[in-house]
Amino acid sequence: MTTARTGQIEVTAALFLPPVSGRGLEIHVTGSGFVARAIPVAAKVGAQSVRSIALKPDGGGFSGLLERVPGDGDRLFVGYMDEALVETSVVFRPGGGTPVA
Amino acid sequence: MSRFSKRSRERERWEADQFYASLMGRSELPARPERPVDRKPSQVRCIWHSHLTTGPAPRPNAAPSPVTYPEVDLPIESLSAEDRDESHFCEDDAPEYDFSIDHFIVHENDPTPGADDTEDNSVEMDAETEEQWRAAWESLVETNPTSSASPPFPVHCRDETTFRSMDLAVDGDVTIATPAAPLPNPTTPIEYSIGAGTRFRTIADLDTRFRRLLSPGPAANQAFSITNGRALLDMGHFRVDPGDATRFQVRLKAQVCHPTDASNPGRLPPGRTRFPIVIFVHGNHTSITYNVSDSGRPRTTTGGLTLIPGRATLRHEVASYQGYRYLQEQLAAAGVVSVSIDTNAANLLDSLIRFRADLVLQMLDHLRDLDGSSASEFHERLDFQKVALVGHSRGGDAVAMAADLNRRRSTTARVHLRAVVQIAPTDFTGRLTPQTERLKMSGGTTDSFMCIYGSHDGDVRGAFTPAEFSPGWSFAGTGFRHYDRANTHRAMVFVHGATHNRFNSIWVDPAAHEAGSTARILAEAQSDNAADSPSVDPANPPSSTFPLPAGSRDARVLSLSNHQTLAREYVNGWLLFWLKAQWSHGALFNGTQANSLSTPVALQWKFGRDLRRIDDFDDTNAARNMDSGSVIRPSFVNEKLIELSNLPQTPHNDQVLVADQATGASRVYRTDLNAAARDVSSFTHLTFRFSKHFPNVASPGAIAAESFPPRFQVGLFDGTTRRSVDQTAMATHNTQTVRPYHRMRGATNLTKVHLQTWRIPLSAFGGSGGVSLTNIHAVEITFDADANVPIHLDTLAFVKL
Repeated sequence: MTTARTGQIEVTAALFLPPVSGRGLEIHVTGSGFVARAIPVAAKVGAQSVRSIALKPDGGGFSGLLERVPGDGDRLFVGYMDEALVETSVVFRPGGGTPVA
Repeated sequence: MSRFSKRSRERERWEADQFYASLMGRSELPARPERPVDRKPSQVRCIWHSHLTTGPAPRPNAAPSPVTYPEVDLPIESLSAEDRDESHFCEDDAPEYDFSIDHFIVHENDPTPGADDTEDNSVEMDAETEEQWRAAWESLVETNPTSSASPPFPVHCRDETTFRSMDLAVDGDVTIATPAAPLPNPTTPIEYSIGAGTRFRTIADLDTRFRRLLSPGPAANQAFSITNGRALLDMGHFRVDPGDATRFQVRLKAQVCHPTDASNPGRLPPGRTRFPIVIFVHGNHTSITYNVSDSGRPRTTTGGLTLIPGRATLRHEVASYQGYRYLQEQLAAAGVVSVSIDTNAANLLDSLIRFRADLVLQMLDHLRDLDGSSASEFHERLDFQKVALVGHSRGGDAVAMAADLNRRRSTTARVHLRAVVQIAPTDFTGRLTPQTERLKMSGGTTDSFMCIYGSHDGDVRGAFTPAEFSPGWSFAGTGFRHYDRANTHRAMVFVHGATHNRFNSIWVDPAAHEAGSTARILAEAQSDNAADSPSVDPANPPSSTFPLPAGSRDARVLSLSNHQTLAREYVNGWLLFWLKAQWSHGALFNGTQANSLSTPVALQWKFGRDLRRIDDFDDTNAARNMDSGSVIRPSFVNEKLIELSNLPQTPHNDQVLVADQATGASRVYRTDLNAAARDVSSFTHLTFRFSKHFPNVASPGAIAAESFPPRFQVGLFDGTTRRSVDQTAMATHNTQTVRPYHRMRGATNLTKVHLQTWRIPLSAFGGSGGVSLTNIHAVEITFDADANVPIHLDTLAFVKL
């Protein structure tokens, strides 16, 4: 019998990149357990909601858009929109290029 | 009797257009209604009918009404400047002739070639009318002279695939208004919006208007970059438009099941019979996985990372659209053509509702094409006057939107929806403001509506624990809210022990999912035990492993087989009820017949061969009922909104009559019937939705300890005599009613304290020494001081079963 985690979200890393156009930052999250549910995935960095979230097809994370550059030390929270978002170990550091957990 | 004005219609349409414009991401919202210079009306036609001989507005595509209404057709030039404002013209003239306006049609000079210039405004937008109720059933009976079930047809199922050009609207971007510190009180709804969606039509849009996804590249500091939109094009879900290389077409794929000819399998039975149509729409689920390689397109560098535009090749696809075959085969045997649409493209793009709804309309258009093509086996064999939509999960919201969009189409494109059915639906629009943005199953949209939802739904679970940045109980509503808003013939079945995924046989089939994937593990879990909660659960931290410990299983959860049995009875039962006038199926929904498994269900319903509403308590004047009859109420009885912010554990969002603790000398709530409505002898039952507050739902024992039903009486008064029925007698007439079902998920209590519809046969009030049912002056509800809890009551009506 397979042994694996049953649909629990786990975040292992996050990458912040300038967007193709416009202001803000793209966030690219790597992890596991992002199952496609009826209820959408939600995320925030600090107090800022992540917008335009696109899930990786294999549940291995997601990409999204931050309209503003987060503050130094702002933490990533993830979850689904019908429950409390859970804290991850990812923290944003400005000027870090590719801050990772 | 409904009274409409052109002005209010335009205003409503404008508001609706604004909503859809925002969903589709149009930056310029439609202007307030103001007739453009080049679209002046050429003619105004008002159609009148009297109060006494009234009938419903003729439905589009419906059989001609037997009542002929006088019509007035006037060239616009013959009207005075004042009368050219047609709302003034119609509204002001109507009372003079003791007529009211049923509907009107404005013929416009539309400069667009081929435009439909006879757009029909007669479709009821919102108001619930008894005429509409009656017409829906009568029209169905008229077109089904034989309502009994015929011998089963042989069945044939196959896939149907085509490509359609369509503008894609993806509405997946939900924005939560970030609360200011300190965080709001947990009982305060957090505002949200379904923000600017993406509307696109060109291949370039696929690369630029979706969020790019990264995967490891062939070397350090390299990553493949691809959008799910581009991946769909690479994998054949979209294709380059043969007529325009800059644009793409969307694949429309479906599983079609139909009655067939035993001697010619695969063909329809011979004859000229047109078959009713049912469209199925699955919901959001793991859909497509793909591998990414170098597409060869130009690379870019950002943030020290080289991005390599990727090319997708399909790795695995879950055929969710095949998961309702157990329902489709039963329908085909009953003489119904059903089509289950593949909406995996919407899943990969994470569309909430709109893309899925558009696929429904595209499929209906495709079926019309087949019906009109002499080369098709469906040539002139499909009945667009008898169409039903069934949607599961997000598909449930989608069929509600498709029904709404269908109502707005031209008469030539519109189909007559006899039923909209939702299986474990999401409700993403139920808290949007203004209220016109909330999807609503009204009589002008569909003749009937039914929702089935399970107590063990682990996905659309109606979370009750508002927490930091969790807008779930505002945003992610359940079928209860859809039912609250509906005002057509309707029913809702809350099934004890039913889950979310088991209504789709593919979703719980491990073999249908990619080997080694989380989705497959979840399918194994759900096929094996009670797990139906694939998400973060603070009570089950990520150290949990599969298989789940025995203690996490819930023996109350129904098996896959039992889910299918109940779906055949309730989903298909409602469809055959409303597509083929098989009234006998109605008994499952009004509590007169249990399901074959004797599975407990909580029923809400309002349907009948005839109905007379008394009050739904939704207006702002608690001193009058819906027919302007007087209301006398004790001080502790009020019309109130019940929702989570003011009533813990309720899944509803509706204004109802709330009787708090009875105090004082007067404890009788009385609602008077108008003189013209006092003869109720043609009806069979008095019905109402009802519950009480359960202050303690912490355990099954605590729920069982509550008195239920609480002490109160319902009576009729005929001017001289009163006769009442108390809660004990009521219970004998409603033996299938249930108490709230205790349901925990981790530390979260998901128990739902919901309303149920109760019925009292009118014979209980009449007979020897009873009231005269031909002269009922009032309905009276007497509350008991010992009840000691708030009682909730709604949707008071007489029905004929």
